Amino acid sequence: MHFTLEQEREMILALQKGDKQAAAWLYETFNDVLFRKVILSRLPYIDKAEDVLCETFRIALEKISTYTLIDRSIFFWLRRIAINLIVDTYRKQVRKRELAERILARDAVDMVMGSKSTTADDVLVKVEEEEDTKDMVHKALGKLNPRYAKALRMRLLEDQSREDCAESFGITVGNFDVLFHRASKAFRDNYPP
Amino acid sequence: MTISETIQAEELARWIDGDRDQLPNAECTVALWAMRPDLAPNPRVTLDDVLSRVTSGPFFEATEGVEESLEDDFVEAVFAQARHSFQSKVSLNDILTRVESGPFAKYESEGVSPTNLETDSPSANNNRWWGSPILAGGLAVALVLFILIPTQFKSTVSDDSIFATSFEMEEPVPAAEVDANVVSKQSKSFGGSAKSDVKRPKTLKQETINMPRGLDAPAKVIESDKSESLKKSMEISPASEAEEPPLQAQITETTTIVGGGMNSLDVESAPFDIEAYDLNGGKDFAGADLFSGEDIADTKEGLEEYEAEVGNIAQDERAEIEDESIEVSAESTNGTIDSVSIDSVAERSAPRSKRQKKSKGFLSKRMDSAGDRLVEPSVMGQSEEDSTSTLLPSVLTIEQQLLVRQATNAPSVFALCDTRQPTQALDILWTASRTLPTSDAITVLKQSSSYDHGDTRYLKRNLLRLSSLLFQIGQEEEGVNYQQQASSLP
Repeated sequence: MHFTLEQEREMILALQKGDKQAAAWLYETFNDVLFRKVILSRLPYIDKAEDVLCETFRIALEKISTYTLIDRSIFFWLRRIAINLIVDTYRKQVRKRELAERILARDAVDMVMGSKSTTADDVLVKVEEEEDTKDMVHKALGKLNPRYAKALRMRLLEDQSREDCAESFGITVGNFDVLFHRASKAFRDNYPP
Repeated sequence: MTISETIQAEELARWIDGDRDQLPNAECTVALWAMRPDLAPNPRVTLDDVLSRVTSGPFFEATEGVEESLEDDFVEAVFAQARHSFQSKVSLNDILTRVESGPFAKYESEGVSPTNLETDSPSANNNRWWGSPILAGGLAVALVLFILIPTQFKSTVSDDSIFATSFEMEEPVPAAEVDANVVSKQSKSFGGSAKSDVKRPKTLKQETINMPRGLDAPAKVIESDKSESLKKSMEISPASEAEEPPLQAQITETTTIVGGGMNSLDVESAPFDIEAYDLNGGKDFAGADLFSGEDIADTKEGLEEYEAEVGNIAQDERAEIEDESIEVSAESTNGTIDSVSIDSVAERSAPRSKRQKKSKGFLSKRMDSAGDRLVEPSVMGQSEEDSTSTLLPSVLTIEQQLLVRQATNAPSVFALCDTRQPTQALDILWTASRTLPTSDAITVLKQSSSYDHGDTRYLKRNLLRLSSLLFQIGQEEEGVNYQQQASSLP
């Protein structure tokens, strides 16, 4: 789907009138990108991510009448709501309050620096969000045992087979599986950085 | 590496390769969703879910009318009906105009407007039960009962207390008897410290017991003379007393009767009487150490256990251990009561388990005879690393251990390691690090990360040791790094 800002504007006007078709359009267009690239990368727990997704759209539909049309995609408004909800989720956990502040701070930097994307197409096709996520992933990998980081990079980022990875490490495939499993567990403790 | 870990690792590998029947272990999914969000399942949230949560704005469909909501929720409809009916009937002003007494009665004469009432009216709930003094009193009584019931209303009554039962004026005592009493008290105070260790029932003054002649001993002798009722309750028939378990106390009691004029305290410090009543039958030294709370039977039992653990003990060593135990009991019954009681008090005050108390006599022997095999308790538990290392068994054979100890530098240690046997390699590195100089030990231990597919416990041990060595040489930052790596391991 291709959307120009003008098309988006029409849809938003329809949304503000309570048009359910427009709501379906909004949801179908942005739910996947929000879920995978914004929410799940910052809150990598399926259940919680789904909650945040649902709440994001709930708030958006409730407050749509207050939305002011600007020269940017509504995606950025949805993204802001989602990130605020993620921060709230982390703030509820005493041990993760610092993490919440870091997410907020990182997002504030993004806002100040500005985004090159303006339209929904930009958001859906290209992908600043992916760049953000990669940055976070590399920071987290930097905190891991180098072998763990290497295993995760090879298997997940470079998409190499188990056999190739095992050979690279000079161990059996079974041993590599265990190594990768442990690396995944170790990653959890360091992500988001 | 546990079996479950291997299974989970294999499942995760298969899931990534495309076999996605079931989500992988939640511990691993963070890495997956963060690095490969495209692999994540689609969100289960639908637009209907979202719309059902909307409570305001253009997409909020307010429920209008009771009939419509009846279909959805009967209970909600009932409450809605109640609200509707309540709103239309009685106003607050109507109620207040009928009030004839109480603080709201004045409003009748003043003719307060309903708007004022909305702001000023107090809570309709005038039945404030929590303010009742009866409740406070009840709570106090409940609290007192809560404290007293577990103690069954028993408390010690001091002689000075007005609740003490013997108020009768004592008859004047002749000077000679006073002297005798003083001597008796001195002997009591002499034996007092030792007596405090003995577990025995209270002794009753002999004249209060109506014991038939020819009967050997009352099983329980009670000293207390506070009240008649107490005396009655404490006079126990010999048959029922026979069920009373404390052996030491029975010995003392028997001796009291045989000794005639002696009181129990005198007898306790006289060894011959105790030995005469050997109730344990067959054991020559079963008279026991009355003051330390240990008996020779325990000592023997401990000795047997020690033999079972360490192997056969030489005859002379065994005799020595037995002698040591007997000597302690003999000392305690032969009059060196004060010293023994101090020992026993010290023993009791030390936080040791019953098992340790029993085998106390052997601990030092164990440490002497099997010193090489046992680790000193003071060394154990000094740090997490030490405790881990002590708990983990070595996976190396004796030959391998010798080979590792012969290695003089890091390369020679690395040559012994095999990636196909990671746990063994980790153990080799750890063993080598204990004999090599610190710098070499650090080099060797850093290699542990190459074997991180081995048993995590061994890996953790190595990392902890590595971090402690790094701290020793002042590389704290690196040490913290390894410590964090270790702490992230299970």
